[in-house]
Amino acid sequence: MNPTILEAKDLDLYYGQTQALKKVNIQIPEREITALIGPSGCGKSTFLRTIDRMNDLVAGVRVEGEMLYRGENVYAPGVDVTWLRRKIGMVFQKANPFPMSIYDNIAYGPRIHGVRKKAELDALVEKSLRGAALWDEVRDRLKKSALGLSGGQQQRLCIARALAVQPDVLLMDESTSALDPGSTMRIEDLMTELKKEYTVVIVTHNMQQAARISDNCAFFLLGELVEYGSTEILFSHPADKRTEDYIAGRFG
Amino acid sequence: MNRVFYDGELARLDELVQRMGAQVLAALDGAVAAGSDPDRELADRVIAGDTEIDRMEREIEQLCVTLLLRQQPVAGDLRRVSTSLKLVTDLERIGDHAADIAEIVRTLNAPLAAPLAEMLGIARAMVESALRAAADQNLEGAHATIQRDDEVDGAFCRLKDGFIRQVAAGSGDADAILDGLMIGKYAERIGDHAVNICEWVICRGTGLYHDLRIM
Amino acid sequence: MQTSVDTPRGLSGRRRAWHWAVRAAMYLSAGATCALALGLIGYILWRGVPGLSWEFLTTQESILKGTDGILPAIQNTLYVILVTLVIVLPLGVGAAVYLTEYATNRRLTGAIEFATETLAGIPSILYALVGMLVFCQFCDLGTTLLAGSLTLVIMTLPTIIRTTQESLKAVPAGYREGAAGLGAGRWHMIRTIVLPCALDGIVTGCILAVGRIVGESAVLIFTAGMSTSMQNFFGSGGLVKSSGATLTVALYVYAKERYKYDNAFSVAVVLLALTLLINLAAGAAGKRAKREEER
Repeated sequence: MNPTILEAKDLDLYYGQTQALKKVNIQIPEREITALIGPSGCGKSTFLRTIDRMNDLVAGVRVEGEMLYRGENVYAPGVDVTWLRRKIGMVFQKANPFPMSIYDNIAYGPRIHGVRKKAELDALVEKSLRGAALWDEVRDRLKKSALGLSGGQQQRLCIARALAVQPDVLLMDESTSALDPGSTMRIEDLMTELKKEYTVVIVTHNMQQAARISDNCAFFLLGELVEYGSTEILFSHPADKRTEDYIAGRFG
Repeated sequence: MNRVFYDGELARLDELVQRMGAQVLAALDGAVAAGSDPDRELADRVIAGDTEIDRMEREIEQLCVTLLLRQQPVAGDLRRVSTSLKLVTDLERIGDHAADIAEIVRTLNAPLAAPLAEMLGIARAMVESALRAAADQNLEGAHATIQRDDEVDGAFCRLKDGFIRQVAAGSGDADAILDGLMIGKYAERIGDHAVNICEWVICRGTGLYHDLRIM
Repeated sequence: MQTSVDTPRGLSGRRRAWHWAVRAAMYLSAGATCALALGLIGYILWRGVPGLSWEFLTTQESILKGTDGILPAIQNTLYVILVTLVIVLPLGVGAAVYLTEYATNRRLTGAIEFATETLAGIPSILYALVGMLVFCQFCDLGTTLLAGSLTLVIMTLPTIIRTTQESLKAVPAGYREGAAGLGAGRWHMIRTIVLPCALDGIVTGCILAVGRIVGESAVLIFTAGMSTSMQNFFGSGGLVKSSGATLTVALYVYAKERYKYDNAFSVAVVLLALTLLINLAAGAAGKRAKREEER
């Protein structure tokens, strides 16, 4: 296991009165794929969103405990959320390219962070699109609307857009759930390629996907982290009966 | 309960394995009986019965592969299906050996010698207890069965020594000695396969094979 | 198998009779509506078109020159439209952005939304009264086009706020999440993603507002005056002090005070053309917005 990059310590999260995460403790290693699984409403997506503080956008959310990114608590006062989200990128369930050109989509993040020179942006756009295995498909139509791409291409565009700010960690929230098997496979291949440079944390409802691509797997149930460990062990010999029942489809 | 069909298929898998086990045991009994009280027709029936055992093996294999394909079993289910897939190979071998013994026995005129009959008896008992351990997922029973392999091995060594002494003394019929040695070897192999079955039973329970975590 | 709506064979006699009665009633009302609209338009065209000429559109009333045109009214109309939009757009769009993007107090925004909805339904004569008291008298603007425009600002504000809010709410949540996920601040996100996406809705709101401005008479009679002459436009007070009648008011003046019915009908034709143009523009904007979504 690689050194830890993200660590939750006694992390509690409340939506108003309801507690959505209960004393979560987890260490996520660098440059590996960690999958978060569990039934709907178990808190896995919520947990993913505490990492880059996307929960800040939701009214009435309260977080207790610590979420450490390279040893620093991201919920400490004075943390610059813009900086945090530059370091920790996110790809969503539904591909959400902005209604602008492919180029402008990719350049959107770098422009926020102050990249203005055209040459620099050009290089970043190409590098990001290559990183997301999309360059060859779109190199001739960078100025065309991103909404004209296919679903799978759009999702890879969103990955490229996240890569363009040169993050450290990539969070993917059910990012292949709306794609056909071919597009899903391409993105899974891409993920295994990306983990050489990035830490990837995914939320998935697809047990086979978690088993296929993740190195580590965390099972959440009712806001609790039930079991966390190597994917191979978790899927062949889980320690907790609830994990086994869930992954074998006995409930949920 | 979300998995009525899936659980039904898994139960059917266990049932098929047990039914094949019963068939193999019957073949073994037939071979031994045909040897103890020379009965060529019985031996022929045992030999012919081996094709049914092979067919059962293929049926189980097919069910396992279908389950892997359609249900993508994980955890306990994965261990159940994958160890069944391995276990039937050993079971089929035991059936082969029963047929092999029947092949030899049908040429014999005299009943099997007592040490041979005793050895075959131990091997058969091992197969039976291995199958019972598989049916009940009884890990202790599986371990106990594995321990009994030493008895078979010891008996085979004594048998071999006996034959060596016969050869050295120049007594005994060369054909009978060779046949006896072959049957003894088969019995010893049957014991080994029973051990293998027990190992898969343990693996299904623990994910460990020879103390190595494979699942 | 083919089922026919026209001949409901399976139905009993009574139900079949009912079926035909309802059909006949529907055809009758549809026909009456069409006949009414077409008759009205036809009558206006029949009475108004003969009086239309290039001269009518490009001159003002002058006894000396013997001209009888409506150029001042056209000018006043454009002035009112322009001034109203320039003021109401930043105000309305700003309010809508605040209400949908920034305000966190659900109950407060709910109350404000209810208020704007109510304002949109108030008869315009009430706006006229308030505008006259507040802008013409209290603010001492006098009866001027500016006072009229300011009153129209208040009147069209709810429309602009509502349509802008609707289009802001229609911006997919994914865009906001995506921008936030890249580290965009709220205002940056609104400026670069949300407002451009909502542009079509805002344009539609503008066109609706222009429609109300063009159609309004009561407010302007009370606040902007009824002069149909050019003098008051480029008069001593400049644009701030100018007063006069818009096309709609001019129509009222011609019809009710000068009994020049032919002129009134010609103005009506111009208004009709303008309304048609605005409706077509709104339709085109709406269609563009839809295409944008589907693309």
